[in-house]
Amino acid sequence: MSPDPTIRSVQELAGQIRAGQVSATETVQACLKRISQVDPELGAFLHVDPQGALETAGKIDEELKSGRSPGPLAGVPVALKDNISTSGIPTTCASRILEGYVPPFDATVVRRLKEAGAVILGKTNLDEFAMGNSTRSSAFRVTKNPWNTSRIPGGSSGGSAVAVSAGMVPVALGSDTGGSVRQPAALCGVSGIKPTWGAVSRYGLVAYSSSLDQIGCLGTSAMDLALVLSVISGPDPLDATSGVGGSSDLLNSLAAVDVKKLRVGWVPELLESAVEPGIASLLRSAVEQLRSEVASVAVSNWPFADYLTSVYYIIAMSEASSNLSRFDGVRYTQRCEVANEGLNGLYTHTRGTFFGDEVRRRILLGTHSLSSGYFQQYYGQASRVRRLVQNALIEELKRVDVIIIPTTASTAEPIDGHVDPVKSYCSDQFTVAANLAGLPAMSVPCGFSVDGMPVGMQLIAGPHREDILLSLANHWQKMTDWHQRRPGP
Amino acid sequence: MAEPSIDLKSLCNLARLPPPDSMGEEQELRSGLQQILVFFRMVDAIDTENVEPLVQPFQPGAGTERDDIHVQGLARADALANAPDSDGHHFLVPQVLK
Repeated sequence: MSPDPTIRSVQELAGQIRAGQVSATETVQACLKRISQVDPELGAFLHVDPQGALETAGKIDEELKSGRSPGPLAGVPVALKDNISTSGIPTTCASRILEGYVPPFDATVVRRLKEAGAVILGKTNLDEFAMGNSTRSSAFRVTKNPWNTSRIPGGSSGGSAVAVSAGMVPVALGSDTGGSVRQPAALCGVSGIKPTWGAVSRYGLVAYSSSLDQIGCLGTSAMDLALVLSVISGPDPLDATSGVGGSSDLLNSLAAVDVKKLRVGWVPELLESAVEPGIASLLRSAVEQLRSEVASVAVSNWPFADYLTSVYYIIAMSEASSNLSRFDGVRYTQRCEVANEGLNGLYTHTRGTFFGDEVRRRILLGTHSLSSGYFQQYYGQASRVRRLVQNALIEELKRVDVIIIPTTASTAEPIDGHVDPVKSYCSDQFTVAANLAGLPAMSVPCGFSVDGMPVGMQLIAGPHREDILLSLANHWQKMTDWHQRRPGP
Repeated sequence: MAEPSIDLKSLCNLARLPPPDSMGEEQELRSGLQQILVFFRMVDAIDTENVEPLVQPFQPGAGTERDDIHVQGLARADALANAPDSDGHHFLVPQVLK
């Protein structure tokens, strides 16, 4: 049998490798071939590791032949966003300041994937340090949407979304600070989940905004995401914020969810003016299709809609200004030294030379928001509003089990053209609330706009209810085939 | 709403970033940052009296602290492998005391 990763689910692929119908080596070779065919144009990967991937696949094939079980993801190729640390493989965060950096350790999610038998194929492009929603701010290459190569793939996990959408890998990891898994998933026509804050260890994820960052995954179907999430989630002694609130056995709890008993909320008010008419129409249609499949559909409250992006960006930039102070030209970054300017000059010239425009802008604004005299006005006030947002959302999620809203207000925009920062920040209006409140959320394909671009539907549930999200998404994907559509060729 | 004030020189110093090279660049940077600060100040409209700030979504529960036991950290050679300058034992930086 000839392996074809472009049409195969993770579960199907893992089953066929375990059954000996295809080998892990053949599967990795098929992915590498696909990457060589399409990635020169699409630009999803920053680094591909053919030698390491083929060596790992060979070992898995030997283990399978000798009757040992190499794990639930045996032989499954996985791509990783390039802000996730990989021992021996470069990790750049798409920034010049980390060019050439090779981590001496694996992130916990990478270690868990390897222990489950997954094969790390390479590292994918992103907005520099995950600061963006288009993948335009990568210092290294442009990533294009496979549905229309003149459009952005979204971001910041744009490379991971493209790698899955174009069939280069069946599944990829990303990180989601304000929508960076869900938004590119929606714009590229794949499924993406951001788990509850703390459900997955962030050890080895290069920190952008620690109270918002969460590793998530992108794949073709909800069940694929469930399988991968069950492997990477759980408490980790190396991340004190992991496992907060506890997490159950995802695959077992998923099976126990009865979709017919779910109470679904939606927010028709958001569809009146805030989104493109085509997207509003697809969301209304999806809710109507689900109405007879669930216990109830009610109108939900969507709190502080006009303020969410301001609150989010104050907090994200404040935390970024602190987190990125570690990039100083001393321990593991590029260095720019100017004679007679001493250590402070080294810091300043290194950061000024190697950070891109958007990263510098966010560090400056975050520093301002945290500085003496401004702290209460910006960071303090945003953190208090954040409490109100979380309280309101958690209260709403006692009344309904899932809230359905759009993932994005528009489909993928053109790559070329002027980018107004405030306008760009406001386009995250539907995704940031889940990060502010720490809630699990996912995006699933729900149709196409008149211009042929994919549209995503966002599902949000209460803390640690990934089982509800994935069950409803799985049910939706049994009712529809949007998730099976593929861009050609 | 009054235009947000920014002391760019002090801000760049705090952020360890170089100040703009020219008056033109300074003007452009200042105006861009002020536009975003106006966007930030939308949050002023929310009444947050007696509201406690939320600094992370959930607080760690019991059992998140491990026992105080020695564990092996990075080997010295691994820790220094990515350093721009080292003597095999330390990270090297420009002379601080002269």
